[in-house]
Amino acid sequence: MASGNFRTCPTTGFKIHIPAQTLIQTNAVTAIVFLLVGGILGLGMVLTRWQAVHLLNDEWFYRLLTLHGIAMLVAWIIFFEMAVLYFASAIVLSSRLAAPWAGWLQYVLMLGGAALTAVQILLGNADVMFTSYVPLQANHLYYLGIILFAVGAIVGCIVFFATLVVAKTEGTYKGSLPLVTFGAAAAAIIAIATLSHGAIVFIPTWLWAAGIIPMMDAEVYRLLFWGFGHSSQQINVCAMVSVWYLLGTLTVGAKPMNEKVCRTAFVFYILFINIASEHHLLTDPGLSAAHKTWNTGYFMHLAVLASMIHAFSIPGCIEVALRKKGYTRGAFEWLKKAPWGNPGFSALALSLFGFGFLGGITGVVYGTEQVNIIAHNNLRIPGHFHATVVAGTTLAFMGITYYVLPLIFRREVAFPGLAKLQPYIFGIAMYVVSVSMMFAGGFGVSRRSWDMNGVDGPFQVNFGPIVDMALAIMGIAGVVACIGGAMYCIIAVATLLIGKKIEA
Amino acid sequence: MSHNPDHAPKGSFIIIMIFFVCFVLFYLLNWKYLTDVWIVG
Repeated sequence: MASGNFRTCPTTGFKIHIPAQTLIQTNAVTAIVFLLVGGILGLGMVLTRWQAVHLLNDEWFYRLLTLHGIAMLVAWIIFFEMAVLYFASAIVLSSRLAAPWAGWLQYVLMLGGAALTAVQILLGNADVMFTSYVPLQANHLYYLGIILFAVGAIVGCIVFFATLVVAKTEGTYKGSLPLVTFGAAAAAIIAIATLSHGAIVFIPTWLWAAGIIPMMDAEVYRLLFWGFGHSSQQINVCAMVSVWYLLGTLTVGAKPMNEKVCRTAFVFYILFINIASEHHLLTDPGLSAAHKTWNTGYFMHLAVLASMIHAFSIPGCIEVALRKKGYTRGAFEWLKKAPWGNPGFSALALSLFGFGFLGGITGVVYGTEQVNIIAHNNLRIPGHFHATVVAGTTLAFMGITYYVLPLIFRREVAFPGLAKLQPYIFGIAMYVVSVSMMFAGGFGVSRRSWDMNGVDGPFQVNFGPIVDMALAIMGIAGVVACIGGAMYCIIAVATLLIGKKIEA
Repeated sequence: MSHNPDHAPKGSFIIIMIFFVCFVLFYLLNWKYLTDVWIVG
């Protein structure tokens, strides 16, 4: 049912603001395009790190690794988060979106920035990898692209907060913000701090690359860069946890067991999660040893406490919801009878397990100062963050897409049989990729390196056959994960093009 | 939260305890590994 600039969703009863819907659609589709690009590049990465294949030459490996990092860690995730922010504000609160023109400004800046950066990388003007550590220097347009992207994302966050004000002023909801919106607000607060770091660090670096200022201090760069580079992944954590709560509600009708505790956990994220960024600076001279130990050995665990609260709260509220449906036998009947054929639920469960057991445990241990010293520059760390960002966040975002397609795009999901399988293929393959990377890293296999044996170096490093086996397993699982990612893209595109229309 | 004992999240509590044990074991394993490569004294 449509009225003026709004329509009413027949399934959820949400009043949907049409300009907000269009912006959600545009950001989500763009995100999926970047996921597709990043996934194809990821295939190149695993087929090169798999020593028996070693697909790309060194030049193209580092070039495409740079683009893989930007496309996946920045573009895919943050475009999708913009869609999540607009959904969690305008749609969940049945409000109009404040200043849709600013939403379009966000989109144009982010797309223009991402495209500019990507073109510079492909032209070979920015073989500096994701971290672009000074004094490595890219063409100044590479940095300008990232600045435009960061400013665009900040504009998106401002539109989100302005929409919360509009919703409160116009009385579209009563009482406190829903938990999903509260979590999205926490993500947006972290995003503003994070993206401001990005803009602040890349502006002088851009001027330095353009020849306007004579030097860029390497230590200052690293300090500020990690306020952007790692903290951008903390936006993901917050947005992903919000999506988990939303999926719990949509799939089994779960309600938080204790909203106050969950909200407190989100506040802990805002206060403490960025401290985890410091593990990138453990060998840097600018910070004292005591400072490093306190941050990575103690304060960081307050953010871990928040994750522990969600780790119990989310399966707990799903269990309570399923027990209320009558699945009360023993400790695990609810788990056996859970809707495992619903791709939204299976994506939620696999994402929760992958993020918590594989990404969370390893992240806390590897992030501690003493262990980090021997883990940071080998494949254990990419193994950890492929569990968090890919098996965790990406899979959760894939799961919510199966609800966004009918609710926002008003199309029935195409190929439902394929959709049931997709989270399993992608999720389990990513588990194997992550574990095999961490296993090989435990033997000292370096990260970000085309040549792990040092063939052209002053001395050679030889690894045992078990390392080759681990890298082969990583390569095979990586190919399977790419197939799972391609299935997701095919389902999403087919739904948009040939999916049966849902009248509303 | 429901006060019906049949609705208490017992299964989730067990899963979280398994998670906690995995956490402790992985922590210990890494510190043991650290002592092997970083010998003091």
